[in-house]
Amino acid sequence: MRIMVVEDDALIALDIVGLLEDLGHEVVAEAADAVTAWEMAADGKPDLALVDIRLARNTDGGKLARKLYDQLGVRSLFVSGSITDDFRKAMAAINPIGFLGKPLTRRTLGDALRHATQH
Amino acid sequence: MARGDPAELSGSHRQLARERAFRLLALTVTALFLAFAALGGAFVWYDRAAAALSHTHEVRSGIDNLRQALTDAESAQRAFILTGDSQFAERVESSRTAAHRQIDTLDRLTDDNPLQQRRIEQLRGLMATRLAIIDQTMAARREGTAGAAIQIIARGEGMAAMDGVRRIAAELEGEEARLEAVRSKQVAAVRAMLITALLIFAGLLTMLFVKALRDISLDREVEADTAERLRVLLADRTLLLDEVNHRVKNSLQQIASVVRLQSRTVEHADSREALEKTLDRIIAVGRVHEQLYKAGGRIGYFDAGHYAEALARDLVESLGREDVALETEIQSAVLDVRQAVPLALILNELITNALKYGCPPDRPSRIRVAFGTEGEGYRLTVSDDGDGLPAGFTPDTKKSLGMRAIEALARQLGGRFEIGQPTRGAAFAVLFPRSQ
Repeated sequence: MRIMVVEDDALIALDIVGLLEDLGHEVVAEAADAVTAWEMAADGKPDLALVDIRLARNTDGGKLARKLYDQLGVRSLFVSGSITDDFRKAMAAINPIGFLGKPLTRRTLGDALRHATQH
Repeated sequence: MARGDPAELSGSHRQLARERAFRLLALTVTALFLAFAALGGAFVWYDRAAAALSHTHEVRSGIDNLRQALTDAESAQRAFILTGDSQFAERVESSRTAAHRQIDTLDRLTDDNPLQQRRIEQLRGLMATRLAIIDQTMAARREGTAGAAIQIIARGEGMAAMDGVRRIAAELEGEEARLEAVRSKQVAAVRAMLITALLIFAGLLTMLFVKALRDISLDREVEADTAERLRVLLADRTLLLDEVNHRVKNSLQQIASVVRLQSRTVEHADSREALEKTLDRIIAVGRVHEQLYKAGGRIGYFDAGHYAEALARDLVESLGREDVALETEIQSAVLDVRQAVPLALILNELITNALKYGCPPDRPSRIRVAFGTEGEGYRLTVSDDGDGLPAGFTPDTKKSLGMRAIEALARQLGGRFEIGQPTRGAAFAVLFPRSQ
């Protein structure tokens, strides 16, 4: 799959990219904030986006994911240190692939993506 | 914080309000008691003044009756002298009795007034003289004719005595009239005072009622204020906790990421394994944190059973071997937060070890994880059906970090690490008490 990674912490982003490549996916774009991520996604639509909720320059991963789904039909897999029930409910409408807590493991990430390709 | 601790501030507010309410209550009770005593006193005073007034009335009517009785006696005497009819003599007698009764009554009624008493003594003397002369005239009439009696009358002694009686009676009456005037003035004054006291009493009650109402509303304000402050404080606290929680998880992710990146770059298998192990330990701690501070969940709630089940499944499945079966016998148990991380690390070491040494690659294996209460404490067992431990194995013989760590962590839990001797494979147990 062609995946976009939206994560504001550089080392975590690097780690996620490595994990995704280990799992046999292609990382087509990397962004630290929602604005850059949106521009990249508009340039070349990915199959899915891996999105952190709190992003650089105070941008919001939830809003980005909504826009990606509403305008491009790109589904998101959320990765964050704190995922509240309210957030899950708010995001239910945009059909997310899943919500992964941090720290991320190879297994949880692999399971979530396998789930996405099966559907 | 410039505004101080809100909880403490509202506490002292409430304390002040309570003190104010107590002072008000004490004042109310005292004022009511005093006002009530004043009202009672005024009422008793009024009663006595009214009684004194009616006493004066009694004395005055007594004087009237006495005068009337003596006048009646004189009339009856004259009729007897003129007619000699004995019924008039009887009438004299009944008037005499009435006069005596009246003067005795007057004597009794005025026994608190020496001046009136002296007058009554004089009156009694004059009355006796007058009655004695009436007796003389009537005796003269019985023995003879009216002439002799008229002669006695003509002497004028009876008339003089009767004049004296009238004069003294007038003096008595004058004194009583004066007393009556004074007493009715007093009664009017006391009545006015009583009404004033009643009005003050009512006014005081109204004032206190109004003040109490105002204090109650003030107290309500303080309470509402306190509730608001607490709400804000709670919201702040929740926000802060969420923030810290987020940061902790992010930091753990950063550490895990760095270790994973490093492990990907090293060539040497042992070094890579060491880094992978480290990563597993970091993730085990991260899982504890995840369960303890689950956003929106119960904070500080750690179910060791739930944790053990999930971690065991995760570790076994991430091994990626279809022929390794996991068997669990796990009870749910809520543990003290301080016991969570040590137990998690022990579990991680034991299961990782079992997967590494207890599952030979050439045949199917079975790992068993059991957790539950035992006596006053808990027992965690991890066993496998592999080749078993080398003979004479103790945690010290093999200076692996894993074994030493398990021993140290078991001590931290206040428990002990036991190496079992099953007929097949290896078995390890950690027994530890409930947190105090």
